[in-house]
Amino acid sequence: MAPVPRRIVFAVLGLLTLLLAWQAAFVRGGPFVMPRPADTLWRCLALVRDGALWRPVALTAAHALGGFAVGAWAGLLLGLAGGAWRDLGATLQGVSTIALGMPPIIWIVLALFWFGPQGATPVFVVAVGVAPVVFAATMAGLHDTSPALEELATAFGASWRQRLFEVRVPQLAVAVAPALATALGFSWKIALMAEVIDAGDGIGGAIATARAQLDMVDTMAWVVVALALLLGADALLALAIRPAAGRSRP
Amino acid sequence: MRFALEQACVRLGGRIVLDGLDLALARRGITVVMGLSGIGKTTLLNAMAGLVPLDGGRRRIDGRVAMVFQDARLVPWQSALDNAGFGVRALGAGKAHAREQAAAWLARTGLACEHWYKRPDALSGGMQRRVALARALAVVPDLLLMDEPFTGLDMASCTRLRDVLRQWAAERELAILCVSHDPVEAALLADRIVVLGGAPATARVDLPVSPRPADAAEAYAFAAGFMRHPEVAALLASGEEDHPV
Ligand SMILES: Nc1ncnc2c1ncn2[C@@H]1O[C@H](COP(=O)(O)OP(=O)(O)O)[C@@H](O)[C@H]1O
Ligand SMILES: [Mg+2]
Repeated sequence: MAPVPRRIVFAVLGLLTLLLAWQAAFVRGGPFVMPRPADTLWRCLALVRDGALWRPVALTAAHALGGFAVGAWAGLLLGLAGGAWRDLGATLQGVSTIALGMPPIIWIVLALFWFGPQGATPVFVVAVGVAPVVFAATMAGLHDTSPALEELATAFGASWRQRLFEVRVPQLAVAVAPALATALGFSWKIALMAEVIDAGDGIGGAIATARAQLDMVDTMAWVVVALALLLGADALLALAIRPAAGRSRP
Repeated sequence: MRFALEQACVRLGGRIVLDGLDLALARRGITVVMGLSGIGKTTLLNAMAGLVPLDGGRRRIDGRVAMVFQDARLVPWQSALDNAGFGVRALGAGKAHAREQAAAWLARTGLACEHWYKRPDALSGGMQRRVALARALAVVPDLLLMDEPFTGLDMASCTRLRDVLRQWAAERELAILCVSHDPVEAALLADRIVVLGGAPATARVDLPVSPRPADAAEAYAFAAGFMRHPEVAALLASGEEDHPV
């Protein structure tokens, strides 16, 4: 048997099909529908070689991760506060439901009014998307505490510190970790979207500029960079989550 | 008498489960509690442990109580070693000292050390029960409450854990109250057997295990005689009149 797993062979086959479809679109539709794949990939390599790649990548990462950090902290703290004060929790839950239902594009439009162009729009939009997801998970985690483990702590006369750090906090972490992973995943996409519409900096800004100049090769090269970044971030996240999930499954 | 419930009444969710229950345990010795499912055995242990409030009567417990729950009830994110040290840490010990104590008890209950750093979901049911037992014994209790601790264990493991318990109970002053469904196991383990019955439940039968069976054959003989006891037979047969289904 070949040592390459079947799964990988067919995944690669899928990618090749996509490339073939791209090539076909170029052959049939011409360079204004799709640029030649080879040209695009060369342009990507050129971006790497002359170093033009790194600043936009760093900025997009800063927008996604910065917004994620702000939103996650806000969601967590509000969730803890909402868990501590029932009325506050109910109020925040109402706000959170609206925020969850709001399409990111609306936030982007509003944020452009508030912060002006090339301002804090991407970070804000990511944060405002992440916060309600983390808030909801925190509230839920605080609500379904395990009565069995609480009883265990009581039976052995555990101190409040032991109860907090050995039972409640880990329990909350188990509830919140999947929400954090999901939120981190969509942070990149929202950041990118905000950058494109804002036509500011970052990869999205580069895509917007290339599009304005009708440079198809450049546009697609940046799209490929963005995809590589997204997939890379996803893979890293999956690696980071897997052992933790295995450890904490109740 | 050191540990006692006197005329204890416990109400759970509007239903009176125990009423007028008297049970007194000597400072040492193993008492097995039997009774049909749902009769109130777990509730009795919870009342002894102070985990459910009494609606009437008195609880007199003078000493340290440890509990082995009906489910192993391990903390899912802690290793077997740290689970076994949970009670020791609750007594105020540091993590390192708790691990030392826990390791000694895991060894005694027969959990191989290659499993000590595994989390509960990586342990078999039998291994989880050993950890739960080690956790309770590690606090050096005066009263040990055990809820069907041997369910799901193979015969060799049962024998080993029974020996550990009997030996430990003989070494020091320790009272054990253990729920079991198996009369042979009760005969092998206990000095005294109490059978709960009625709704609400009280202790209906209270018999010493004497002479103590010296081997399995004698234990089977005792169990057979015990089950033929008219009141025991009535209480442990499935169709007892006043027990609500
Ligand atoms: N939290 C509860 N609320 C209401 N009823 C309960 C609760 N816990 C147990 N019961 C009832 O009390 C009775 C005794 O339960 P339990 O002590 O667990 O029985 P056993 O351990 O003998 O099988 C059962 O009929 C059960 O349905
Ligand atoms: Mg029970």
